[in-house]
Amino acid sequence: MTKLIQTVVDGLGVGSTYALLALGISLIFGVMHLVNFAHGELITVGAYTSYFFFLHGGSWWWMPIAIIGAAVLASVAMEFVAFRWVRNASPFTLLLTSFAIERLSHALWQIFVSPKQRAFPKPSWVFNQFEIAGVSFEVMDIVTIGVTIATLAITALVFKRTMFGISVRAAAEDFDAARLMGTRANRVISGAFAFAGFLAGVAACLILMRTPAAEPSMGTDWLLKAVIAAVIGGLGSFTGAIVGGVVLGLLETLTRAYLPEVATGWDKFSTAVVFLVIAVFFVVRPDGIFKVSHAERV
Amino acid sequence: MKKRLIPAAIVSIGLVLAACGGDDETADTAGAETTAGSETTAGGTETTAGEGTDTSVASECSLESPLKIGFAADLGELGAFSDQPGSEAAQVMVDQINAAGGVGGLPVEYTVKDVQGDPAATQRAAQELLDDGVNAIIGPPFANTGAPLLDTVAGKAPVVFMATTDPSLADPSRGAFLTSFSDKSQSAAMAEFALGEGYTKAVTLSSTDDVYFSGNPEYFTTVFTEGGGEVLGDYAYSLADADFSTQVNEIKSLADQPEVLFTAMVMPQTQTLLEQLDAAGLGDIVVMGVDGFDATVVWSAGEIADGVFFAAHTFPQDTNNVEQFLADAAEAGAQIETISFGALSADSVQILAAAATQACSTDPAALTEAINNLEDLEVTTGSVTYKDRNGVPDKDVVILTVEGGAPAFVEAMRPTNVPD
Repeated sequence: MTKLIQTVVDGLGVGSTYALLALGISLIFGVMHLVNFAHGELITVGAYTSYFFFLHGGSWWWMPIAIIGAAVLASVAMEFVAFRWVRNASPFTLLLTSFAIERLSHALWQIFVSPKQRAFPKPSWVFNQFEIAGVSFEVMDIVTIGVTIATLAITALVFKRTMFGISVRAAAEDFDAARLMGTRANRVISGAFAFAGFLAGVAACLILMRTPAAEPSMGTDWLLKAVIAAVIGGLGSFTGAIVGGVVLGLLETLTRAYLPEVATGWDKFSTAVVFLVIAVFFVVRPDGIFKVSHAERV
Repeated sequence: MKKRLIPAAIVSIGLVLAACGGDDETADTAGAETTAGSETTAGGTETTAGEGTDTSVASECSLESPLKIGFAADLGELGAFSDQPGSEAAQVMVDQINAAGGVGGLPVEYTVKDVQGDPAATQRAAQELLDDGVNAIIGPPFANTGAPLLDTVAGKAPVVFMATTDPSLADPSRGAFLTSFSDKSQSAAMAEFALGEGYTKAVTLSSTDDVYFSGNPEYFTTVFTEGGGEVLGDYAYSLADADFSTQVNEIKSLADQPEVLFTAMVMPQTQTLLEQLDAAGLGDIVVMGVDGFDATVVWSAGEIADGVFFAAHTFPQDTNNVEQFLADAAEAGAQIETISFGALSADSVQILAAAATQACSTDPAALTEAINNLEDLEVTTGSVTYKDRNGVPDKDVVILTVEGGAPAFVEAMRPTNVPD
């Protein structure tokens, strides 16, 4: 039982970060029908921002603000510089543009900083543990889960109670109708990118507190998991992104913890088993957990 | 607008509060990826171009055409960690050899082509190098580009792989050689070192994401158990993992606790693992690794890395020419951040130069045969022997530890029980 509780908490911690990133991807998909493969680069931007500030006496007291700010700015800049000009192009063009940004980002960090990893300090408490009823918990897992819940609550508030949020949701359902109702396309899309940047910034903080290092391609692995989480949940569904992230995190940790009990050495196949489960899931439910209906431009 | 700012401010404040435990005093400061080279003192021997190569033979040989070396360097994505410093170091060594009279009385020519970490780009680069008339090639660090390179080169020039430890790339029948020791050698060395220190119980962490991360623990396990030790378990991880709580909890729950944890993991994962082991009360377990610890500067993790042991390709000492070479490279304006890859690249050039000198030819077949018969060749990192080694040189595995946040020399050894 102790092992199960520990594993579930670990899974929720990992899954929370996936959920934040998947939510950003779903948000952008909702307003632009774009799976933004450059979304992971916002983590990289946050990492190099931390590295830069720590070189000049930075502190984790205020670093989250810098990371989130940098991610928001980078996300808005990404939309303004690249996606705005191909907004009405085919989804394939949008996809290629996002790949181009991802590759360009890697190249720029390699050329102007270094292809090598750059380390910076972490908060001292990150790996501390505490015990409740004989079960050890890692502080960072609890912080991750707590911050994610707070962020998701705020996200819900923004999208249900603010004019911006309502505009984004309207645009996600039917952009043309939303525009006819007076929604400004540039403002909604820029706002969506800014909010996706904010979510990626929060995720970056949680990731960097645990692994305080920057390297050019560090966002790629996270992006892949986030896209999978978003697709599991149903691309474009905000609730689905969260559920998908948590499900993926739990699947990863549970298979790693319990596969060896099935047979020795099976934990080596934990990643494969996770993807096998996902593949089977998509056969049964190809649209993800929460199917999203969009008005299509014809 | 205020309404929109409030949520962001709340979460930011939440994160700030979460982070307010303060910065880790023990953690390394930003930019701490500095290599041991910056902390070493001068005093090496006065090495010039041809010292590693056999200059006496060189004076007897007169080549009709110059030795042309091409570096198929991975300067993008994953391979740049080795090939960026490596390609600059090779240029420095070529310049030194030329300053001392070249090879066979002619200056060595050197060119670099970027393989971009991509198999197709690698094959294009390889063909361009052949079209440029290179006689020998220094290869990229990973098999995904190394194998297509060999396919394209197809024996038209010998290939020495500077940074890879993957033994599958070594094949003298195809003109392919490693400059470094193999994974089998370095893992065997670490296993023999662990046994020599009196440790008998170990666990390993391995990943199936790449043969480097699964092969090394496997070789360690073979040698450690054959030497009388016991490996209590192997725990899987993924290269994308940022949390090793599951593995640490599994190790903590073992009835019999290990003395050693061996892994081929790299930073920053290694730091996370070390921190989580320590936080779980398993800080007494001695963590051992391979050259990935060196390449990714494990000591940048700060105090938590103290007491870690790992295999490395070299370390500046009086017994080798590394320090002098690094000083020369710095004077030449080369940016060599990682000692090992700078020195191994210098070795690669010296091996090719020595082969051309001994064969007194730049013919690919003659160069390949000459490399395959090299014995006790003094290069920058020490001495290497290729004769009867099937393309993987017999050379020292240097074992380093971390002391006070810096790498420190423990011993240099050639393992006796290297797995087949």
